[in-house]
Amino acid sequence: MSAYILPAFIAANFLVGAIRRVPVFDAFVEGAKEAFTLALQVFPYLAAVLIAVNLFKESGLSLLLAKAASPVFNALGIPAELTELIVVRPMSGSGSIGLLAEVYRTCGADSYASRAASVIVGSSETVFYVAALYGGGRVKRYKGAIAIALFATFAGTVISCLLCRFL
Amino acid sequence: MNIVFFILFFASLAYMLFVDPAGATAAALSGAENAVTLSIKMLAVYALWLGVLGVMRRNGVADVISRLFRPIIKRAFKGEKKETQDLISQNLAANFLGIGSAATPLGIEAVRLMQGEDTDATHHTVLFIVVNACGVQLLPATIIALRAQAGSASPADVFLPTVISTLVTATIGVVLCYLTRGRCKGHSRGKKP
Repeated sequence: MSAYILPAFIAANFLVGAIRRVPVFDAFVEGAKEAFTLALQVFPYLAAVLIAVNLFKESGLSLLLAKAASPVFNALGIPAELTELIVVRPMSGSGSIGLLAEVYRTCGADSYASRAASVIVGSSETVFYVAALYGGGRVKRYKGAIAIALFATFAGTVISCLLCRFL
Repeated sequence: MNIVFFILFFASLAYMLFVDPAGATAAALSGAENAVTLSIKMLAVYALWLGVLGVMRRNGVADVISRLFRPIIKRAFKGEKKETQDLISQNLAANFLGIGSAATPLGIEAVRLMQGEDTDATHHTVLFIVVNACGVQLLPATIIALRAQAGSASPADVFLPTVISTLVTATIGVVLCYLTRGRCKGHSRGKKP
């Protein structure tokens, strides 16, 4: 279904443009002109975040932190298999997809742990990446935005695990 | 961000000095490489979607989307310019549809307009970043596809809990933004030139 949304959406736009006699080529170029500046402006912020995140993962510190947090997570009803996934989720999109696939493989795609993991990943975002990208170039002090997003994401994680027991 | 960055960087490096000193620089560099690859990928994504957006602005579709979200956006982002509010509407629409790549350039532009020359996030910027960072997508297409690949008998059965969880997460985030909005200077100002 989602495979159709994008191409259909773009095609419909061009069609409406043509019907309304919009010079679609000029309009497209005018919009795309901004792309380079945008990528250039965001790059240093992205580099800083991704270097830090990669160090965190490669050093093994993320695994260590996951182990340390495990008892707390357990008390909140989060399965032990998901601790590393939850630690990595706000930092790395590709990393969390990789860990999700790992949970599917070890626990079976229809197990409780796998369903909970799916809901956790599906209902959250890469918080640090979004913050760095959106604030890139303009925001120096986030005024709690990152802390709020992390807290809400964690609350969502606990709720996801709970929901998967009933639904 | 400064504190988070320092802790991540320092703790990881300090830990690596004990376990794997040789791998530290390599890990940092491969992180930077990720940023380069991602930036080039994003450049392509921006070119496509900002181009499409250019067409949308001229053919009236952008206006239709903005009007759809107008009642909510007008209240939550009261005092921002109409141009900014329209960008926010389009960003949310793209997020709902699960086209995160289209949402990003719109969101960056919206933040830029809301901030002006200010480098301290305003209440509106905080609210906007939180909503985006809470992942308000309504169709977890990637996850469902992954589960199907992994051999699930009913891959789509996570749809309902995912939607509920997303909405709860976003609601908690938004409520917290309002509770802490006193931390943002001039939060009631909102009306920038």
